[in-house]
Amino acid sequence: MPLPELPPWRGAEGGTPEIEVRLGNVPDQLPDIIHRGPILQIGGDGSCRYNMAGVACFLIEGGRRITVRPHMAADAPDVRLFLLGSVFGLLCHQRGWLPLHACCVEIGGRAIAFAGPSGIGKSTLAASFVRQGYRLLADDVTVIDAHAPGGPLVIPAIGRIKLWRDTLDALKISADGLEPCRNRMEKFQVPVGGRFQLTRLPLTAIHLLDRVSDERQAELLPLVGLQAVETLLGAVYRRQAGERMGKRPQMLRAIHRLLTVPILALRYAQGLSHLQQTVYRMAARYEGRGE
Amino acid sequence: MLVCRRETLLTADLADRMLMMDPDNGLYFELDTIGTDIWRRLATPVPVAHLVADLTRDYDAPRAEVERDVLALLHDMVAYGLVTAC
Repeated sequence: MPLPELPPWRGAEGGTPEIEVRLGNVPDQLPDIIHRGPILQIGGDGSCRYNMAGVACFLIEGGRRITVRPHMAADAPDVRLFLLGSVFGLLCHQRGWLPLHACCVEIGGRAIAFAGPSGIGKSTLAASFVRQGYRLLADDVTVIDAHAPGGPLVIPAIGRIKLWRDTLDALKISADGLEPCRNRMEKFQVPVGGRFQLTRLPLTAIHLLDRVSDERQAELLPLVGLQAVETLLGAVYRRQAGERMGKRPQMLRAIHRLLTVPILALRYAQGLSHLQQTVYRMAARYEGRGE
Repeated sequence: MLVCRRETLLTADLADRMLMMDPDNGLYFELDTIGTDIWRRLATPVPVAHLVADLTRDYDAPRAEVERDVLALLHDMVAYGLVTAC
């Protein structure tokens, strides 16, 4: 199946793929089920069956194999939306990578992440950074190898930003020719092309986004200790599924490593001009710390 | 009775406090200044009586009060698996 969101492989020829995605059959029942929900089943061996009615059923095994049984055309954007979202999130938990619900951009050769719940403005912020010439590592889910030898690394995810039509209009991006995230959805995939960061970068700061109504309440506050742990746990993508897979110990170990990185609450005022201000402030803050 | 720290805990030093995470049961804790001091005194296994005597001296506090507070803290720490009797 075509996956236009992923950049073509430019590494060595003939290597063994780390992750295989195949079309195929998915069993109705996993062996030795430890969790059975309306969408997600977890098997005794940690494998996951994720069924999205009307879209596709996915089997995720061993952190490296995904089998897709589409309930609609295999090349429909809907199938890729769930594959590259929830399904890759579950795969991250299986692999021991920490997926954070965050966008991530490159500033001064380092990865800077902005976490927060859906609707807080991660993608809009990412799009603003990209428009200012910064490179994108992730627009929605930032994948972290917390135990990399030199310190936590961000693994670049997907070279596109998902934006609602009103955000496109506000940013003066034309929706012509853009693919909707799902059929007939007013949310579109904006490819970032050459502005995608292809290699892993050291994670240098994590911001927890929070919107305030008044610009005078905008602030940047360091989070430490329990507050940092709680905030990071709350920002883990598909955390509940990960916990059901028995991965809470692994998450805490990863978060413990992330505490070596500054964790900050970023409260910013609503509106595009304030967003622009935030981009300038963050760029100045992190560009100044070059080698 | 000796008190021993559980060495599988993940810890992080904050300015005047200490964060502890227990990946085995998924819990996490923060010790205040005195709790952190007591934790550091447990770096090598120590008898409870010695711990109480040392704290009474160093904090210049009534022994009965120190003993009551330390026993309460150790009780909680045992309950949450942060320390064991050894």
